[in-house]
Amino acid sequence: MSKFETLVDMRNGTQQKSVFYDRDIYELELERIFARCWLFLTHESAIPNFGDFVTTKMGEDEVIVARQKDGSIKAFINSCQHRGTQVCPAEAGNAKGFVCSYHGWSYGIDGKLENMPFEKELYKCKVDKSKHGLVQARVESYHGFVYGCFDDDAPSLEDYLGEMKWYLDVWMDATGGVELIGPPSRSILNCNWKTPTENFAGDAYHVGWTHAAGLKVMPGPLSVLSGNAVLPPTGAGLQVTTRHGHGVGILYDAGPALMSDMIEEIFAWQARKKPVIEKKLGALRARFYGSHLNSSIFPNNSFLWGTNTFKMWAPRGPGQIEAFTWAIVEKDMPADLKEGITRVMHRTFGTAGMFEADDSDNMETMTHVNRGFVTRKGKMNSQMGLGGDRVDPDLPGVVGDSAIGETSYRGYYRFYQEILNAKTWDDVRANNADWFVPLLGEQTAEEARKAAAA
Amino acid sequence: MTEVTTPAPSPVRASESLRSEVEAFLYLEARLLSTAQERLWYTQMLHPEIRYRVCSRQLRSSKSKRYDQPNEVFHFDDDINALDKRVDQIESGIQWRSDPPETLMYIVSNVEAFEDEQGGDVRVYSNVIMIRDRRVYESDQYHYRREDVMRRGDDGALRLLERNVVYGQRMVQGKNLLFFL
Repeated sequence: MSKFETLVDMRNGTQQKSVFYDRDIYELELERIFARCWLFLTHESAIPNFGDFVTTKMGEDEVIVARQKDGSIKAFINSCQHRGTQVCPAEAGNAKGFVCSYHGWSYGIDGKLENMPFEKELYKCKVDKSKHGLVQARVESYHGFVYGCFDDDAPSLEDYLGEMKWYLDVWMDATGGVELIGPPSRSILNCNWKTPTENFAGDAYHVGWTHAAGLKVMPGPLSVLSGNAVLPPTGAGLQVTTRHGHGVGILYDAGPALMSDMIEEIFAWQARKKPVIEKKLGALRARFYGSHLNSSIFPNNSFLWGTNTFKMWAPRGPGQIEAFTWAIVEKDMPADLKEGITRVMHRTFGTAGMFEADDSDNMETMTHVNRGFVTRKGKMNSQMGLGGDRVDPDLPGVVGDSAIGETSYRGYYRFYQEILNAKTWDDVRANNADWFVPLLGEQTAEEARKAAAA
Repeated sequence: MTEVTTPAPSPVRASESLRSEVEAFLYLEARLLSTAQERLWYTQMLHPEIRYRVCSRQLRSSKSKRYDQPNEVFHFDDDINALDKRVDQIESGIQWRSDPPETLMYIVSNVEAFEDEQGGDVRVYSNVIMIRDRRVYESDQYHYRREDVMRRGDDGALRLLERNVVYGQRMVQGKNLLFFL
């Protein structure tokens, strides 16, 4: 058994601290996670017209994402097939194609190699241009959110999102659609890429304590949590983890609680739209619409619905990330409401965000204290609620019945270990029937199977 | 979104005495912000109608004219109430990240002042290097351009009415901008 196969104790909800530090683990993550999973690229609203493009990261790979003539979207690696130079230094724009700044090789908006200067005069050997296009990734969209994947063997984006779609549909679709307001803010954090992702996937526990000061000075429905003065009451929320490690935590009815001077306006907007959503999805999911959702899509894409922040955490080695932050707005909101949400989102969860900076300190130290040899031999604990997770007839995924718990941590790291172990996606698919067993224990899992069969 | 523009300098360069007054204002501000006197800065140096903005621009080709998505992201877009909350947070005593306290140093340079022909406001340009030392191992440098407007209050003293910070470093290296620029 390799040292990589026992990083996570799925049954007991612990992880080795070395997952935040070890360079060998990181290299395996690049190969088996970032070159294999669906990774967030952009939102369709950022590239509406033929020739529009943005540049972004897939893991550490730099990619160009471009709208094609037929309306489809392609993504390809931003590295010339001649000597490897970046072919596009801009973050966004509209172009007919991309010309390498080194020798002038030029590529079409579809990534195909079109021209090499003095090809006839200088290239004695025949270079087959059709085989020297920029390296392509698969591209698929879900409700306008565009993801890319380097693995042809991976499931479709829809299958990859799986049960998570049921939760995403509430705000991505039933609202009439959303869009991301860019450009993103971009900042460097000296932390491992999993530290913010696990936090957004499943950590309501830290809110009252980490953000004590922000909650205290920004009046709103969650201010009472400041300094852990009170616990959210029983039934205040729940946590969910799904097949491919995606997780969501729901704090009922809290919606825009952190949105400062926009709270009332957003609550009023939601109150007007809620009946429409209830008609489409029923009362339970309409309640999600007005709730606060913290969530991560495995491996490195997070969002807060309610606080309306959308994040991508691009890894830069085991000890550093680049954080990309966009605002989420509903398409049919008036311009001033979109602008207000964007303004307040950056004030709370942007680069100068009054909440964001509290988190980044925690994420950085939990990464770098593992320089210590003895330190990183230790384990991290995510056992809160262990033994209580269950399958629910109405809620897809594995459910933890509390606003605060660590169900989604356990689900995130269960899949993390599974995909690190897997030689191909077939190894992952082989676990489709029983993926939840380590989270539930045999007995509960057996009950879950019976319930599913009935 | 409103564009943060670099307006053409007004032809009326401020008198030497006004220029020194403006420079003293910026130095006092730097000293208050680097000696944990943010509340004094807030009450004595800000105009109640202040608009305080810090902007980064997305990097685009100067030839790319056909792409019309917004190109500015505002890290700060605050009025007097939002700034009050930020000072409250610093003063709360429960902001774990700022204890042990940080050490800030502002170096303010290239100060130019111009009198606005209309309302008696003063337009002020300056460049800033700010160094933040915190914890045992962290030392980060931030550098940016300011375009300010100052207006006299009832007491005749200058107050900050507009701050527009042009933050050129696209990817903020010092992890956050949680200080007053």
